[in-house]
Amino acid sequence: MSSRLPSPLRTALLRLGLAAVAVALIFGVWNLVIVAFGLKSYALPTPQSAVAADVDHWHDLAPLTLQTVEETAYGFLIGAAIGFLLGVVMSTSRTVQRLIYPTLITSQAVPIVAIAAPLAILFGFGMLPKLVIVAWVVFFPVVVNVLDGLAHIDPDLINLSRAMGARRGRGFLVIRLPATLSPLFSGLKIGATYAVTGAVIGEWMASAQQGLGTYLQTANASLDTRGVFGATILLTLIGVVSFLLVVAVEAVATPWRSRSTARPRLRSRLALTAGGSRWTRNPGRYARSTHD
Amino acid sequence: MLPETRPSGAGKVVVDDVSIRFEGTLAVDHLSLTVGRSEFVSIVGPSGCGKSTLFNAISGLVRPTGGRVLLDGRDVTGETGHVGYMLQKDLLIPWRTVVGNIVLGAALTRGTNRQDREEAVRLATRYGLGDFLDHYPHALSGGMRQRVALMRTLALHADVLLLDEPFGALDSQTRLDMQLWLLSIFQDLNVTILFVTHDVDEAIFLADRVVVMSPRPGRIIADLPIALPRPRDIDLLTAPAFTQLKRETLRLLHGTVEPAA
Amino acid sequence: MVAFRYWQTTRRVALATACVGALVAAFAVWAATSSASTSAAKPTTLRVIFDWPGIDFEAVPITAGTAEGFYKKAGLDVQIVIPPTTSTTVKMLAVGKGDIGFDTTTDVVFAQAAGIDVKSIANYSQSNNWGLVAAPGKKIDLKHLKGKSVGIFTDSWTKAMMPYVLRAGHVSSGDVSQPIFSSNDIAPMLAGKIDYATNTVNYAIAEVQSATGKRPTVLLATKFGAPNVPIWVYTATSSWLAKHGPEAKAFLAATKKAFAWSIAHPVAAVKDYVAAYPKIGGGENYSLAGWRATIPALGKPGSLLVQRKAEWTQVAQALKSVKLLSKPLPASSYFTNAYVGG
Repeated sequence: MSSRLPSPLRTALLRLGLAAVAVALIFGVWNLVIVAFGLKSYALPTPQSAVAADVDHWHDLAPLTLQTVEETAYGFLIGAAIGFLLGVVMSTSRTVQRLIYPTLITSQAVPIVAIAAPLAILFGFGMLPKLVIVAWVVFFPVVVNVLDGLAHIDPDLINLSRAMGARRGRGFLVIRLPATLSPLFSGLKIGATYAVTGAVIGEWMASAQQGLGTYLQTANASLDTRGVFGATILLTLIGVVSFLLVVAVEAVATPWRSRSTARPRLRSRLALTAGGSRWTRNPGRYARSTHD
Repeated sequence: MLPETRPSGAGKVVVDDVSIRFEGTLAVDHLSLTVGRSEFVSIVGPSGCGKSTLFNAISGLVRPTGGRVLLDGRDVTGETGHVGYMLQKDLLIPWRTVVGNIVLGAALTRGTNRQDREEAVRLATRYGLGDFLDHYPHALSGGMRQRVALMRTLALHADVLLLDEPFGALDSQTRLDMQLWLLSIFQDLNVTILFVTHDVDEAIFLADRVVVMSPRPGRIIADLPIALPRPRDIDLLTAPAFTQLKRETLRLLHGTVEPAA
Repeated sequence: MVAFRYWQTTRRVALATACVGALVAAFAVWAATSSASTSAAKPTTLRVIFDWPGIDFEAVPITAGTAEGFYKKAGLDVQIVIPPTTSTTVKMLAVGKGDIGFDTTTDVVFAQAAGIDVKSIANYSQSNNWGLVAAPGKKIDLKHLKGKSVGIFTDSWTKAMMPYVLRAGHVSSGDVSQPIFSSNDIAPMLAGKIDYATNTVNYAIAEVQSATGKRPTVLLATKFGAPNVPIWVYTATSSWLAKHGPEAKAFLAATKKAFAWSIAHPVAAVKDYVAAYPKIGGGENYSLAGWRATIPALGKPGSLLVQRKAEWTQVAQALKSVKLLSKPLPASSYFTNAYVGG
């Protein structure tokens, strides 16, 4: 054929190219605004200078970034696990749902900044308060989505599985649990984007370790506006990358959303011989016997 | 009166004087029906006459307020897992492949094993889906999905199949293909089939008997034997005998003829 | 197939860019109109921007100046503006949201480094009253600093002073745990969560005394080698000073009188302050303890508000040595005594 690249690679490159164009556009408009309004660098630095500040100070910024990434990642996993478990537990009983749901909603209505301070007193200034805050931010969209997913399983499908004689545990494993995957990832995508903000707020309250959040404060205190925006760009990147990672895991975990066929398994479990043999009926082994 | 077959306990499926009250209304009213071994019975009736509710009772999903359901002489009222049940919706599970969906019955009960999957492959291949074994449902056409649904029902190895308007959502061309396919399956296996449909042509074409139900509350108002030769072929659809049966059924359905005593 | 999705994505990208552009433009408009609305300050009103998003006893001289009529006699109406967040006083001066600033010496140095021509026109305090704070009765033992925890803030003063602490204890940064706090490290120290807190001594005393009734143990950084540089100053932009020199002089002259009066009559001065800010500001006990603890740092009555060149060279050097400043400027870039005096 022609010298074109294989289709998935082309799509990926196209997406990457468009993303680069989007970033360039944002930077362009940013610069335009600065020039048009004559903004001084202490008010709004150019994106290039912010990025340059990051590059210059990368030696110092790298461990800070790693710290914030760790807080974000672990907090995210904890929040996701809690959210998932809560969602599943709440789906089992209306009463449990009615008991817990209002508490969950109230927890989200409380501004994080308000609870972060007492959290620092309770849990100290190490990783724990930050993990709590990140998990706090992440778990709610996960719970809501998992609960919705379980509630919206086609009742006819439930009936069908009952008619087939499904045992309760099997019905849960085969139908209800996998039905949570898609909505779970919807919730995870939301949580992933906001998780890094939770980490920063945790760092702001009290922190034994230095991260991008503490760096933001220090840079702000020394009027280093380039540093502030540079750190902000890094934090934004963490949020975006987190989101993309979830999308990637989603594509692997829920292949039916993006593929027509299942991925071929490493060991072939199916003997794919198109048989000339007549399909003969075996006596029912699991249909409850109606014979004597 | 009602031209019903007296419950003799000798049929494969016996619906014995079943009444089902649903949210205050009587959906099915003292209905009795006997279906013999390897018989194909079509059930027609106006919308809301309780056909689906009757199926829910036979499959054990709904416990009738009165009467009982017997399978091979044994009382299975309210018990699930004895019959194969198929709906108009294919209800294929989106994250399972064609093979995965066909083995769903096993997956939900005792767990699938290698033999289940091999059998599913044979079934699918035999009936034209050999190239789509690893496909997800969203990649299949409506007709293909219904075929998978029917294979899923067959894979249960139940003696009795309840098919509730399985081809209703398909276009007429595909529907005819599916009817012929169902006839061939019926020919191959010794299954007993109860088949609900709105389509009178379909009812007569497929069945040994056509049972006509009244509007709600559902009662049987007629039980028409279909003395057409098997195997059935398309020419039958335009044969005079067919048209005669169709005329009779339509009259019964639309009340222009009183059922024979 | 690909072409179709590409077109959809392009539209989405364009929409997203337009939204971002609109947001940035809106911000820019706000910033621009803020500077455009620099009204020529009315002859009699002077807006003094505080250094912290809150008011506290350091404002006592100014509230006393208003309450006791010192400013009125000079033809001035002084109003205190509380900034929305920290580290914004300089920026607010630069865009004209205030006339005089109350700020730290380090902020002046940073402003000049960032190209904002803000100068210090008078010292508020005359000495460096930053130091280590421990609970009442507890000793501060620099010989055994290793393994201890010292609470710090993210401001530049702390950053400039901490090396002196470490040097005095002969430890390196890794030997001491330095948890970062955003607003209050005294409470955790009293709660035993950290060994020592760092703070300016007047705040430390005010906090601990109003919380426990006792005085905390305090160790001034100047006692172990930190430069004796004042922390707080009054500031103004050069452009404002060029247009409002007489007002600046009048303000500082009246303020000097208010300082002297407040030092001589602390109880009455604090009462004036509390009357001006009854709901916020800390209350009478806290503020009296704080003002009394501030007085020692204000210097001798004869040298109130006057600045020394050496302070500025020292503070720039200190900032350079902790890598917060790359190019110290000559001291004259940072301060002027032209408006103080008399």
